[in-house]
Amino acid sequence: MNNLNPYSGVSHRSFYVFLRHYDVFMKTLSTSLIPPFLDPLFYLLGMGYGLGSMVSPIKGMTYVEFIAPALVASVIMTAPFFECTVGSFVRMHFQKTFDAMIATPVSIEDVVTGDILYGAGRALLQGTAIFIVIMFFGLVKSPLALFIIPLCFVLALAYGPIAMLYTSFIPAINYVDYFFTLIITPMFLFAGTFFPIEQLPIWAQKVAWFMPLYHTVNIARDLNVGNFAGIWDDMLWMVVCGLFFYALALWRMRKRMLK
Amino acid sequence: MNPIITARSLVKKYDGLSAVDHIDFTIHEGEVFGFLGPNGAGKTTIMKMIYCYVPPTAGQLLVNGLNVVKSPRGVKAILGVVPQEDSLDPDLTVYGNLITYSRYHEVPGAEARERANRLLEMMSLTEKRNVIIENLSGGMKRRLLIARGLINNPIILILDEPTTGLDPQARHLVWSKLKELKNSGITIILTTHYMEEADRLCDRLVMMNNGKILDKGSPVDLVRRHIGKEVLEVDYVDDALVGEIRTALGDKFTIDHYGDRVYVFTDSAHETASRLQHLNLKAVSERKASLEDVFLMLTGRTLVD
Ligand SMILES: Nc1ncnc2c1ncn2[C@@H]1O[C@H](COP(=O)(O)OP(=O)(O)OP(=O)(O)O)[C@@H](O)[C@H]1O
Ligand SMILES: [Mg+2]
Repeated sequence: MNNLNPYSGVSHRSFYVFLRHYDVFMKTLSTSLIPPFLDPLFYLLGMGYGLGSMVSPIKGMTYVEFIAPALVASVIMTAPFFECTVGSFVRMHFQKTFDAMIATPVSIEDVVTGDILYGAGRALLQGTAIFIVIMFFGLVKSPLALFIIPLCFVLALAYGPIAMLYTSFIPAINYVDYFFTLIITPMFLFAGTFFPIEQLPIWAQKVAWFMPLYHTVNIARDLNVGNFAGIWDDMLWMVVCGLFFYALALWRMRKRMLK
Repeated sequence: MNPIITARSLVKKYDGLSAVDHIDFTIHEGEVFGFLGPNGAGKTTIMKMIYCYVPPTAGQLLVNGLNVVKSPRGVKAILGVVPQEDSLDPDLTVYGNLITYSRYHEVPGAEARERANRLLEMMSLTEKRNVIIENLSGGMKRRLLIARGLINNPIILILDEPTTGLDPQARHLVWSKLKELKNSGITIILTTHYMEEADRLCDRLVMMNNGKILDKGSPVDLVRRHIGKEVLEVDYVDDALVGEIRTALGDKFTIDHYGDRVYVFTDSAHETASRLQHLNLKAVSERKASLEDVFLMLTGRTLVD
């Protein structure tokens, strides 16, 4: 294994790790399928129609049209963030599942990658659920919006590594709270999800620009109105961000697990 | 006999503490090789270095000709690992654990199912096939760990305290299965705190303490060299009594005391006892020398400290 290239420990075996998570997921299917539909429904009703009735149109969109694609974007972030913090930490620390896996030809990099893949799978599932809900409310404006569905998986691959990197540092599960409070909540609120970032002071706009969710929301909004050409700069940013954090997460997890 | 694992000047340091301190050993193909030593001796650390979980700080470790640092995947592919700590997957059933683990080893599906069923049978777990891990007893978990370690038909089986927590029946079951495995040609590496287990199973073993090897050899050889044939045991009263025994027997005998017993190592316990009759010793017992005596002699003093 090449020590200078953190990606070199990754192999097709990460798929077996993904399969393990998939098997476990299928066992609890009946309980995990309903909440992804209800959550966005409540947001749409509460924020979109309730709060939105008091808000004037934004960039030619009604408020509910404005936040609908952002709801899809937000689970592209939250699903892998949850999976690769709480889920991964429990498996690594309490269940010793990581230990069991890396005693086989599966490498720690494969384990990390499998968890990231699974986080993306969860985002695909939840994103699709939201998409169905907003479609039902007539909030999908273009057939091109269907591309959001595969992108739920692809874009979520950039978030899993960020969560994994954080998980590689924490000594106990309660540290996950900091991640939720300091990373997820600010992004969820200030990355152009519920109001355009132009409402923020200039310095905060600059900070918001660096948030991956800002770019994910842009992509979702552009696709929802069929503006395919508008997504590429944001896509590029997501790829760079994803590869950067993926390398860091792989390197850090190896350091943590193989001492 | 071909060497299958060789360690040269192997070192593992954990911030300053030498868990394994310049150790050399060679394990031959097809033998059962034991690592014995008190808690914290470094046994598990050696096992973990062999299965590439802990990288050595220094020295060389070759498994089947492969360097554990350079070719971990190749090494892990031929190993069956039964760790000291339970690492069964609590989200899966007994059978699910075996199948999922077989995928990590890329055992083809049909073959894996056949092996899983056979291993459950072998470890008397067939009835628990669809039970989740949480609902297994401690001993069943250990047996499942052993079954899991065999799912890839390993060339080398690493067992870190395989029978800790097993009832006597289960322990005998595991022993007989390990004998069968040995007869089939597989190399077995074992750590244990049960001297009877080491005595029954191990062709050769090392006694270690504080990360160092104190002595190595076959169980019979170790007992003969360190202890002799028999042991006379009496209750410890005070150091004066030990002194009196020493005076009565002379310098030729090794006399030791651990805890509440005094041990005299001798070729004939009966004859020695008769020479001590005048001392009116309490709870005298005469027995054959065992590996436990070697263990206590080599490592005992540090335990008393
Ligand atoms: N990850 C670690 N970090 C720091 N020290 C460690 C670590 N793992 C083991 N040690 C130390 O290394 C030494 C050897 O531990 P090891 O687990 O190899 O002992 P052992 O012989 O298997 O003991 P036991 O019979 O109790 O299982 C101990 O002093 C232990 O505290
Ligand atoms: Mg141990």
